[in-house]
Amino acid sequence: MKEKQKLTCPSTEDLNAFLENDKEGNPSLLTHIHECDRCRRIVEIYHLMDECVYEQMEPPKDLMKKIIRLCEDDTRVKVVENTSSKKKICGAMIFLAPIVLIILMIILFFIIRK
Amino acid sequence: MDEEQDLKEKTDAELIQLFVSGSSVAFEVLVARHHRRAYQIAYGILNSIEDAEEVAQDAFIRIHRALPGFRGDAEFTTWMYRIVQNLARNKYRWNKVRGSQLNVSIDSPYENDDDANRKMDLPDRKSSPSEEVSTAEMKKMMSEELEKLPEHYRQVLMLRNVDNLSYEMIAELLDCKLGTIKSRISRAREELRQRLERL
Repeated sequence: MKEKQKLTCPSTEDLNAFLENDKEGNPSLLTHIHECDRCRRIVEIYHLMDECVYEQMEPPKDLMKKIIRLCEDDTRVKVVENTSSKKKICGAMIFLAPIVLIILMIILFFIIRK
Repeated sequence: MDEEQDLKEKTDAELIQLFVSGSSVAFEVLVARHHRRAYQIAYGILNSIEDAEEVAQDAFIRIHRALPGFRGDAEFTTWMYRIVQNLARNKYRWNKVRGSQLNVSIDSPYENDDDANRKMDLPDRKSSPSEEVSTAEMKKMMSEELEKLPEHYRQVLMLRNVDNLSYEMIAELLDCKLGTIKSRISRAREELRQRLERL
């Protein structure tokens, strides 16, 4: 009986296709898996693999909070960068304005003297 | 609270619009919706909790920065997958060259649904406590053997189990043809099963 079962057992590719819910390709596959211990065991192990991998891939619980916090911090850094660069420009203008004014007055003075 | 509930029902495109017009909660909903997949994809490629976490975080910082300029030519998810994929690949290469402890800056430049239902239609067999123990043991052995699988088999098995990730997307993430992915999943499962049988 076992020998007969083994001869008619589907390939592992077909069992995989079954696991991926591609049953239309071979409608008798489901019946076979129900009846054949060996094939059912293979499919169960494949299924267990998926479960095992899925559990491994569970993200850390605080990941979402971390992401949101980092994005907020990133925005704040940008705002600070923008503000500080604006301050730098203002500072430079305050510092340069009197110098430019003095230079202009000197030029004007020489023009008038001529 | 009501606002958040309302936002949860909106599409990605609508959330992006709201974020661009100033709603930070809309971005939070977007993160809540997609951070799992971002992490899972990164984990599938990198096989490291720390690295996957870092990639997921970096990906969302990039998204947050770039979202105001997102034109919506592609789906948000496709765009997000690409960012995660690029960051994870960079990290993978970096790890290979320099060891896994080093970091890649998020400012470094890039290099470069079909929902797959994985439910099985088998008879519902309630397991006894002893069966549960053996299942737990089996899973432990599987995890150990999974680590020993060749990289291309491990990656495909991991990505196959990312929430709602289609075969097409797995093929794109791994730069392979669709047929290759399908047969590789089949061979990877079989390889792992045989390894377990040999134990």
